[in-house]
Amino acid sequence: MSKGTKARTVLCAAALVGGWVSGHLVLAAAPATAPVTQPDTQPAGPEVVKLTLHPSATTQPALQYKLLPDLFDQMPGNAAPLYAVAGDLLPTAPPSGPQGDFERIDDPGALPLDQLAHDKETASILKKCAQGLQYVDLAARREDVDWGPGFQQFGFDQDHSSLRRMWVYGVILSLRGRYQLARGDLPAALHTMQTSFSMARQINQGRPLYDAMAGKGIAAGALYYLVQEWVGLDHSPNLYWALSDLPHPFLDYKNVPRVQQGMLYSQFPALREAAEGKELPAEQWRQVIRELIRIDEVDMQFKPPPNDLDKRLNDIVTRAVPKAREYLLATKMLEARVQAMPPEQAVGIYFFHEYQVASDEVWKAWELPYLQSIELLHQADDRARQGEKDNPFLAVVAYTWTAKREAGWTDRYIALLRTVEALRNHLARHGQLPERLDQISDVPLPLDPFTDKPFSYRTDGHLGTLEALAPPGRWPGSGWRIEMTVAE
Amino acid sequence: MKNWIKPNGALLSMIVLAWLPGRVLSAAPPATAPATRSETQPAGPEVERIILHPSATTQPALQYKLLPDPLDETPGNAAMLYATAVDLLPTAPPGKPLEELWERVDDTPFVDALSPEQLAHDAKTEAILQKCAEALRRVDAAARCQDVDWDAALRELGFDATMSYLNHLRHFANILRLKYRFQMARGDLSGALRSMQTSFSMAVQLNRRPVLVEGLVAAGVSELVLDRGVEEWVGLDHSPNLYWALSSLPRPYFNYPAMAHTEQAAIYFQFPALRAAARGEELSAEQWRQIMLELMRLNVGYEPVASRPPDLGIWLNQVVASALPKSREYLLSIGTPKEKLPGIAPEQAVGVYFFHEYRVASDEIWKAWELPYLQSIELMRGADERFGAKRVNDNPFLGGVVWLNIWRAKFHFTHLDRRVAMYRTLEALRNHLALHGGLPDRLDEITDVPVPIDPFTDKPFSYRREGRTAVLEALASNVANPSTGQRFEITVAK
Repeated sequence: MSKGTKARTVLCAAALVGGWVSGHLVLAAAPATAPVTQPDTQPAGPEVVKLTLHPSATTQPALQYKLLPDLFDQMPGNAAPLYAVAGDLLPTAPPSGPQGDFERIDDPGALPLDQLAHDKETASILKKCAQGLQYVDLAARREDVDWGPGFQQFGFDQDHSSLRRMWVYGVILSLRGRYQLARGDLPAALHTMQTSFSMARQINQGRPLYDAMAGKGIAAGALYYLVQEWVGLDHSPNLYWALSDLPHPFLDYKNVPRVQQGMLYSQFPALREAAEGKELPAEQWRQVIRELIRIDEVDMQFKPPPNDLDKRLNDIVTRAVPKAREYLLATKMLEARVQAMPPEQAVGIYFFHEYQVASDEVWKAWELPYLQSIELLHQADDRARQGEKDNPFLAVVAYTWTAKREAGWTDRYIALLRTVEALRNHLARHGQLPERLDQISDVPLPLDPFTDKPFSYRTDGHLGTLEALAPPGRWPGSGWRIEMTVAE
Repeated sequence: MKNWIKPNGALLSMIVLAWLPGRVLSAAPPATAPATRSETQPAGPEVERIILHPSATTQPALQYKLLPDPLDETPGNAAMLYATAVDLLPTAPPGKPLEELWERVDDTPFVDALSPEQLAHDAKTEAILQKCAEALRRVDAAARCQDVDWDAALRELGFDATMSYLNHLRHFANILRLKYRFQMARGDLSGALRSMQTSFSMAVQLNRRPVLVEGLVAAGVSELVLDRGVEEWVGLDHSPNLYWALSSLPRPYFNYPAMAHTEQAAIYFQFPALRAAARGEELSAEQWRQIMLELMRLNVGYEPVASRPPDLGIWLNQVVASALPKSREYLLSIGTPKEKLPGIAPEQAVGVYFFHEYRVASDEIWKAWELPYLQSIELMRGADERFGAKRVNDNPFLGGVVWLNIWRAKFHFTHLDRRVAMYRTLEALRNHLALHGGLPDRLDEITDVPVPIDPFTDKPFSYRREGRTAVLEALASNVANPSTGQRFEITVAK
């Protein structure tokens, strides 16, 4: 079959990305499974970023530099077909040859800026990708994006090749932006940042959770490789208001629950009737459960469908029959009817009910602020994961807490960089770093969206440290420490 | 990198035709359009033999349609589903090209050499279709989408736009051909009809707001399904009559106005400054120089290496120097005071002159585009001979990248209309057979359904009876070689 992974929508985008983007970006994206304990290979503390701070006051006009394309730079139309053409124009590595250029793309931050400015390999990559990038630049400046009816029509049978190509473009944009920064072409680098941020937001529109989360990775690349690099440059204009002007939350997941929750019903239209209380025959339930086992197997483990689907189905049904009958009796169904009901039908009704409950649990707190929602989502996710071995319906319940955390990560990093820019502004206006953040009064200081409190900050006058630590009980490596040195 | 289709001029037809089936290739007039037959061309029209079984038109008349029923349509943009379908086409593991698969799909003679009986039991064909099943599911759904928006960014990129989806549709058209032939061979007529609907719908979707190359691909896709699908269907015993299905295909089948508008605008998409020049505003010498340099860059692939220096700037200087006298003559002719001429930079004088020449030439080839074939073809061809595809040395605005052999495109489009008319006539004959027990002696004896005329000649097709057989013939167009004629030798089934 195709190179595309038919990955299940409940997978987290960072897992997909981790397969082909290495280095800092993966760290920035946080691990897919978000372990609460720290594995041996992971750093013991937050990721440390070292920055040299040059004084740079906020600009006049304040929004002279923007991180999303201006409306007058946009054209009516749908971005999605342009991204499809860009995907076709992406150079591919020879099937069995060396990775060549793609090694450089793997880590856009591999070379320091002074080396990157004269790096022939990077220039060659960007030349090869120029035509495709032209399409990406145009797509990012289309007013609308409509990814097509595939999600509605094909349920979980999705191919993610196009998403992966967009991801590769996200990485190439990071490389292009850094190259432009390295060569001192700040307007071009800003144009590239606008492309990246716009693409990150467009990916989210009308897609299921898995795809929508890819936007976070692209935004992360732009923030980490481009904005942060810009902020560390001498004479770079201050981006405080540009960062403040980004939509909040940056990644718009408004339609994600609607698309995600609709996927089960797209895959199995009969379940719409079941949801309305109509009875489905045993054979139909059998087909649905069997298909769910197949989807789970094929997509999670990237292998052909198992040959023993029917045996597994029978085992699962047999195990669940007693609980299913208990549930049916609890719904006031007559015992005689319960006993006469074929096992697949009883189990199907029970499993589907469990799915509906679990799905609502993982989505009900989705729209609440991060601090109020994250633990609720985490608990609901945990429950769904625990049940999925026994109930294949639960395997398609979305990992919403991971998604919420990833979305929160983007907002947190934006807030962190805004704070750094507030410090550069302070440096320009007052000649030194403030002793405490609350001494900054020229611009409003953002709060850490993970804690709703100011970031931790300390200074000895010449060195400043800004910290956004991992939330309690989470992997420490998902936190950040920015160590800032004031330029001489 | 792959050779994706671009909206370029002179090579356009060749690119498109390179993958179209044999019959379309033979039907196309040669690139240089000789009026006389060359030695390598067949002496007469292409001959096809067909056995006709009686089959009356159906009731309801449109029970069998060649385009998807509107009731089957779903909202959404088909282009995105086609893009997804491409990703689901089988690809080879590293180092192992799927030659076997693609040879079978793309190799026209091989596939078409299989008789229906052979095809029905051909395990390889079945395996290919199975491997392509997921992709074809998306194609089936895409063909039934209410909307399509291809958007190759032509407005922004002009001649640099890439239309990779046209390459993808090529694959789909060929796989579908395999599918409907396989379905017919196995007696699954409703499945075959659905697959043919999918193909026709792809062509119609390409026709929404096409540039010429999209129209040509649409013609290729349609011709494929007519000649490999409809023709096979018409020759089957017990196959329902498609007379009304063919008659209800959209007319005109091609979106002529959209093609003309987009093609004429393409140069202004590429060089927005030319809009101002067309309004009579002055462009600077530097602007003209940049435009001409860019045109030369675009035309490099169309020019023999020997005819140009490797450096574009030097080449342009040569072209400007050579055209300067004529350009100054032109400026004088439009009322520029003689004393002002020395003050006009050579690039500006030549740019104004070249652009004027381009506009005259472009209007000459397009002015007759909307007229009926017979009225338009000689005018367009004449204009093409006068102005067409000049060397960049003469005028880069008329180089191969910009210039379109639109009379050839008109020929291709009319050729498709003629194929539809011929199949309609064959179906009219099957209906006559069913209702009257035999073939008519003359076409005007057919009164149960209207008999179409040949769009190339605006006259009925040639038809004659020879005992139990008959010959239906469409003569070669006046501008094409004799092999572009078509002859059906019809035998009535016993």
